[in-house]
Amino acid sequence: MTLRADQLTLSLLPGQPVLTDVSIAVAPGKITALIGQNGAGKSTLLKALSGELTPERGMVSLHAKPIRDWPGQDRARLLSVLPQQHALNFEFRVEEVVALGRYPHGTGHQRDRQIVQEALALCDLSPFSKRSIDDISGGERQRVHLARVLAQIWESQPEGPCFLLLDEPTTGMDLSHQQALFKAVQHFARREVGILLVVHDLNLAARYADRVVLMHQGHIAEQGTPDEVFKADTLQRYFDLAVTVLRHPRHDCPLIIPD
Amino acid sequence: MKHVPAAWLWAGLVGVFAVTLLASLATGPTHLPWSGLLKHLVTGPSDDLQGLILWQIRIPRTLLALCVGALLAVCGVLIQGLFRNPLAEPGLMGVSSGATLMVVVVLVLASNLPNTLPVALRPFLLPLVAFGGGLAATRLVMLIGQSSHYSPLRLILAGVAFNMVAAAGIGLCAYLATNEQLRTLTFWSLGSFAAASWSGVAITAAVLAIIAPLAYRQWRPLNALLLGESECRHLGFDVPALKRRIVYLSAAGVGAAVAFTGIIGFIGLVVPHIVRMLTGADHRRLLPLSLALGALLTLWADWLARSVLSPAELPVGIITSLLGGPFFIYLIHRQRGRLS
Repeated sequence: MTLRADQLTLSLLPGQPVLTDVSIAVAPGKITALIGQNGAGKSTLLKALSGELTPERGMVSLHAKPIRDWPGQDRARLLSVLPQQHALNFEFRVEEVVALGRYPHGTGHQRDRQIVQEALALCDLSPFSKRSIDDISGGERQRVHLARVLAQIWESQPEGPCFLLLDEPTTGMDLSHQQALFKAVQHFARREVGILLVVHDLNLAARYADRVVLMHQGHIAEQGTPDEVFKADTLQRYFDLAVTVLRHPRHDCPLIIPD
Repeated sequence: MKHVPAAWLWAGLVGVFAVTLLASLATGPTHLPWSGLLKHLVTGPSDDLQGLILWQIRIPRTLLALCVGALLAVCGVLIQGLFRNPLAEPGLMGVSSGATLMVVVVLVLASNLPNTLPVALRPFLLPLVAFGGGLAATRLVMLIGQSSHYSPLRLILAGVAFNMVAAAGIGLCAYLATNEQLRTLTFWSLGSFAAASWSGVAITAAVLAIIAPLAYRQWRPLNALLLGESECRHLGFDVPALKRRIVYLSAAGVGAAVAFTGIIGFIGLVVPHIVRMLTGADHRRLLPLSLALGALLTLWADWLARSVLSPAELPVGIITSLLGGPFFIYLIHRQRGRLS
C-alpha cells in the first residue's frame, strides 16, 4: 500500500532524459526528503509520481494500481500535491483558497468548513482567513497553499493511506514557519500519511526526514536514513561543496555546515 | 477591497431591474404613457397602436437585450476563467469575428442566397450563418492553438491571428459591397437590437436556458482552474475535457448572441470584472450575478442608444464600446501590479 515509481525514464525534450531508471517508494507514515542540486530531476520526479507527467518507460502506481487508471476525483482524495509555483490572478479570500482542497470530497458544507478552519489554524493563518490572497505576503501565501493541500488529505480514506507531495514548500517562509511546516508535516505522518518533499535546506531534512533520497543528474545517487546519506564526502561529491557534518547538540541528527 | 454580501447585490439588482424594465418599455420614438403601458402589460397583446408597439417592438427588444446581455456576460466569465486572465473576453477566441465574417460573406458575395430559401426560413438565415461562423471560428482557433494540450497563451495567439484574417476578409467584403449592403454591414459590426423579433427572443432565451445551468455546474472546476492547470488536475478534475466544455459553451453562447444583434463589445469583459470587484472571484457567486448584471447593463446601453438621439437611435455597440473602453483602461491601470 504505497505510492511507488518503478524504473522510470522520462524526457521533457526528445533524447534528453531528465529521469533515468528511477525507482522510489513513498512509505505511509514516513517523511521522505528529496534532495539534490538544481536540475537533478527532483520536481520532474514529483510530477511523474503525481501522474502529471507520463514516463516513457516504467510505471507509477498508487495502492498497486497504475496512477493513470485512477479516476481523477478518487486519486485527488488520496494524493495531494503542492507545486513549486502558484499563479493566482484573481481575488480569492484566504479561506476560499483553502476550501478548494475540499473539492474532491463529498463531506458536506459543515464538515468542510470545520476542516478549512482547522487547516487555517494549523498553518497559523486564522487571523488572515477573510483577507484577500493579494493582501498578504509571499510567505503567508505559501502557507495558504500548504493549508489547502493539507485540507485535501485531512481525513483518512477507506482505500488506504493518503500521500502528500510537496515541492520546495518552505520557499519564502521565515525560520519559525519553516519549523512549523515540518511539525505540521510530522503530525500528518503520525496519521499514516506518506510524505515526499523536495527541500534545499539539508538541516531541515536531517532533522525531520525519516528517509533521504539524493538525486543527481536524473538518477538516484544515494538513499537511506539521514545518518546514512548526510556524510561529508557524499555531499561534497554530489553538491560540489566542501561541508563539515557534526552531530546536532540537542537533536540526535546530523548538522551540516558548509566550509 | 471589502466585498459586498451577494444577498445585498441580488436585492439591489432586483430593484434596479424592475425600474429599468419599465423605463425600457416606455422609451422610444413613440412615448408610451405609464398608465397605457401598465394597462397593455396586464391585458396582453392587442391591435391598437400602443399595444402593437409594446408587444411587437418594445417587449421583444427588451427581452432580446436581456438574453444577449446575460449570454455575453456568462461567456465572459467562462473565457476569463479558461484563460485565467481577467482581461480576456469572448472576442479573443475569434467567435465574434468568425460570426461577422460569415454574415458579411453571405450578404455581399451570396446576396441571392436568401431568395432561394422558403419565405418562412429567410429571417433565420443570417442568425444561423453567424452561429455557424462563430462555432467554425472557435474550432479553427482551437485547432491552430492546439499543442499537447490547449495552452491558454497559444489559444490567445491563434485567436489574434484569426481575428486579423477575419478583419481582412470583412474589409474586402466591405470594399466590394454596394451602398445598401454597407448599411447592413454596419448593423452587424456595431450591434443593434432594432431588428428584435419574438423568434429571435425565443432562440436566444432557449440558448441561455441551456448554457446558463451548464456553465453554473462548472463553478468548482472553474475555481480550481484559476489556481493553474496542474492544481486543477491535482484537485481531481479532467482539465482537457473542462477546457473543451468551456470553449464550446462560450462559442455557442456568443454565437447565438451575435447572430441576432451583431457584435456588442465589452459586456463580456466588463461585467465579470465589476462583479468580481464587488463579491470576489468565486464562480458560485460570479456566474449568476454576472448573468443578471450583464442583462441589466445591456438593457441600460440599449435604453441609452434609443434615448441619446431620439427619435433616431445609435447602434448599441457604440454605447458599450464608448463606456467599456475607458473602463478597460481603468482595469489595466488597476491590474498593473499583477500583469507585470
